[in-house]
Amino acid sequence: MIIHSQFTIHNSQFTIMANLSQLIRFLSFLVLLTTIVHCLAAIDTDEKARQHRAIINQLKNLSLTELSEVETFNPKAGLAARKIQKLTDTSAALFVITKEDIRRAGITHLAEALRMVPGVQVARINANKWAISARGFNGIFASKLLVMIDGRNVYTLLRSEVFWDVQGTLLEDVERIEVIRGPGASLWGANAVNGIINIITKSATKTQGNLVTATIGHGEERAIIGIRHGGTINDDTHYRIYGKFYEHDSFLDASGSDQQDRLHKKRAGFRIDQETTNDDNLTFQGDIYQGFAKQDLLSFQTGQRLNDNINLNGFNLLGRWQRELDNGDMILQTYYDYTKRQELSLGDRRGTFDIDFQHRWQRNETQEFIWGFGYRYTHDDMDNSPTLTYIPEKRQDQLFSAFVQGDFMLQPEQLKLTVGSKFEHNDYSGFEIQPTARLLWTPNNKHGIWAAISRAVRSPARADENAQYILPDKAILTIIQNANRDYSGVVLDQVSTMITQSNLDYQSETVLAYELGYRFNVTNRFLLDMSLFYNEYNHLRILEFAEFIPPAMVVIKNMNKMYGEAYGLEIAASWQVHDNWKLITTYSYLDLQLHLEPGTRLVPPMDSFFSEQEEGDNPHHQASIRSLLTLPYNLELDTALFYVDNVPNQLASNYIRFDVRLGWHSKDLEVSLGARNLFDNQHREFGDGVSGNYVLADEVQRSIYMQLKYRF
Amino acid sequence: MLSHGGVSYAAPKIAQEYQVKAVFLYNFANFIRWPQTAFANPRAPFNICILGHDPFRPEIDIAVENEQVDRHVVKVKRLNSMVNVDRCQILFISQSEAANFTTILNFIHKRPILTVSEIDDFVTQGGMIQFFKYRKRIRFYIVPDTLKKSGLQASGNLLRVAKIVRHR
Repeated sequence: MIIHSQFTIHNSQFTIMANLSQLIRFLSFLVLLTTIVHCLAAIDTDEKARQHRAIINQLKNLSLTELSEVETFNPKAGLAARKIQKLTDTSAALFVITKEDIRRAGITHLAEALRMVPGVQVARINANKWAISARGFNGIFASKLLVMIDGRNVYTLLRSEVFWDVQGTLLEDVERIEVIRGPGASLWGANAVNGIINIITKSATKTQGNLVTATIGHGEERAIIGIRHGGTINDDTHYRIYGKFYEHDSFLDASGSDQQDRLHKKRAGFRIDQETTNDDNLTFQGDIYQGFAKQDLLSFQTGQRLNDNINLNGFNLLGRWQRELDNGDMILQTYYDYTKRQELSLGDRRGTFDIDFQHRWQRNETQEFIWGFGYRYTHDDMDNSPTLTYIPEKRQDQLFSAFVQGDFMLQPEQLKLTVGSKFEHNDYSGFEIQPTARLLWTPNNKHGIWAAISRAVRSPARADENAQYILPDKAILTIIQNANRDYSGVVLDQVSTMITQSNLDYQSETVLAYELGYRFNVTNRFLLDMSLFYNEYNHLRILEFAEFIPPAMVVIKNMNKMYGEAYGLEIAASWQVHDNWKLITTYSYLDLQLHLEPGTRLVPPMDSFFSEQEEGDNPHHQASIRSLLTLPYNLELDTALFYVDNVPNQLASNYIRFDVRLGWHSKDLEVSLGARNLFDNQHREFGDGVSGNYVLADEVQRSIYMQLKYRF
Repeated sequence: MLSHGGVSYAAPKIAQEYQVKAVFLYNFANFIRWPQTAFANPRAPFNICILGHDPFRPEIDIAVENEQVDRHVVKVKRLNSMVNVDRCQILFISQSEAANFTTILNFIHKRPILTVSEIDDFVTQGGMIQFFKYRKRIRFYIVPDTLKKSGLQASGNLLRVAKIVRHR
């Protein structure tokens, strides 16, 4: 217990120091910001006519159909005096993957689309597991990302990670994917620490008629078959139903021999949209899926290698009511999501009910407010196994949240201040405040500069507080023995069990993020988007040696004893070189430095997952160039080149990946032939991971595919 | 969690009402064919005329700047009377003329002039194109038969996005 009090002193000293340096950084950042804004404001800014010209020119470039979809407002009638909402008006690091990007990259899984986004790390662990994060902290349980499909959270409340194997829909139904790097917690809430991924599907009005798609391939997906039917119920009400079959091939191990890690899924769903003339939109949608995957494990219990079956089931139902008001809109949304996952040492049945309300109110030409509140209820039932027990086995949790955000035009059409905060109460860490302040300066239609300071938290998940691993493996204990560290009082010869004990004092991991962005939109044909960030993390999770209980047990605990900084740069440029040729290029740099609080005693076999070694879980450099070329005779030739730096902690060396697609389409038929990872037999992208068990990593191989889409 | 603030790379999602209507007027020039007789000579300008109070200024002027239709330079004319209406290829009849628009339509009867307005009942009373709003979007009615009687021909693409009105 003496040890404990020592830790506390260290802890509080550290907190004071950190707060002081944070304050200084915060103030200098503000000074820097003000200086920049003042300097820039001195430049000639009166360009209203040019702005009008730019808007008109954009409208002239639209097709008649697109033009008739443009929402209008009448400034004289006092309605929303908003400018055209476009990328240059966003004060966050936003990147949008359009349906065209998805189609022309031949994307067959949602997770794979994210490779296009700067600042996002996508790595495959095996044929059914992805490690995906933004701005660092990647891993099989990357836990600092908020991922939503049509407003429904899809990260698991078990461990805050996303089970990418079960996420999906008919990819032809995806309208766009919006990815925000950096915190977005002030609007979206907990877990939006390092980024938000918002997958948005098309309204049923846009998916009328029938569609059949078929993909056959080798190396990745072996077969995908999708069927969709869209129709009308009455003049205002449209619907679609779809069914999908998905079969992913196994990957290879380092020696090139076939492994057993395939993924098999069946999925079906519907969406109904009613658009009444009274400015009301009603949406009702749902999905159901069933599948299984295989994985190679090292059993925690025996240390033996074995092949395991993962059974996957789930469904969700969502309803949304959206009403346009004279000076804003309001949205009421509710959903229920159920998932069931069964594998060796992990059995999780989980239901989540969520209800959310938001109201946007344009007070006048210079002020806009958006506020709302929400409630979430989750219930689960865990299977306990000899190596992993959840105490309690069943648990119900509630989350209450509210947010308010205001947009203030400090200078009409040029300088916008956004301030807001989310307030949450969860059953683990209690009350959390996640504020943001953002400033956007658009001197004219071509340039946009923004800066932001935000705080976000990753609140504790069920596993952080309640999971108890019991590891009797002699091998692990031998590693402890050989680590030659000071575990005072431990009689190593006698140790036969290592146990992780729940930590009821486990806190939220926090980030304070400073961001700066610049966008340059010379013409419709060229867009440059850059962002710089500096993040300060505190209370990061590690696994620490807690106690030796004679005669034979070592106890380890989840502790918030790590802190760190990350900084980085992300660039995206999109250039329409010619009417039929588009180039998109991205570059990201990331550096993460993690530090343990003094005196922290790590547990060797676990420290590659929970320690300062996590700074080696991300590539420093990532770059990509995509080319979308439209040829005569309805042909399309699309290529993409990716470079990913080495990921030292995962023993993955740098790799270059080259994808190519040749497409042809007529009015109702589309045929694509493609290859991924063309110039490389196979490569490793990520290492082994702990997910209930010790999951062995496999390698990505060259793959080829043929896709057919027929509309009738 | 709700989806807030739709943002897009290229396509504008929101614009001022008369910016969109101005671009539609310009598009009509491209998607409708006028007979040769509609022009005094091959080098005569293509005139978009606005009769009555002008709700477009300056959007329509920006929209047609440096534009040509079949080698006719596009110009915008503001009219106070019907005196020079023969030079117009498109005539936009402003809301301010709602009281006497049927008289105006009778006056230009069968001349190759595309009549456009946002006055209620415009297309049922002999007009060719009438703007209306649907869920804040700009849509329009078109009467192909009336166009045809004046020698104008609308393209299929235009008809596809329009709501077609037929008189019995």
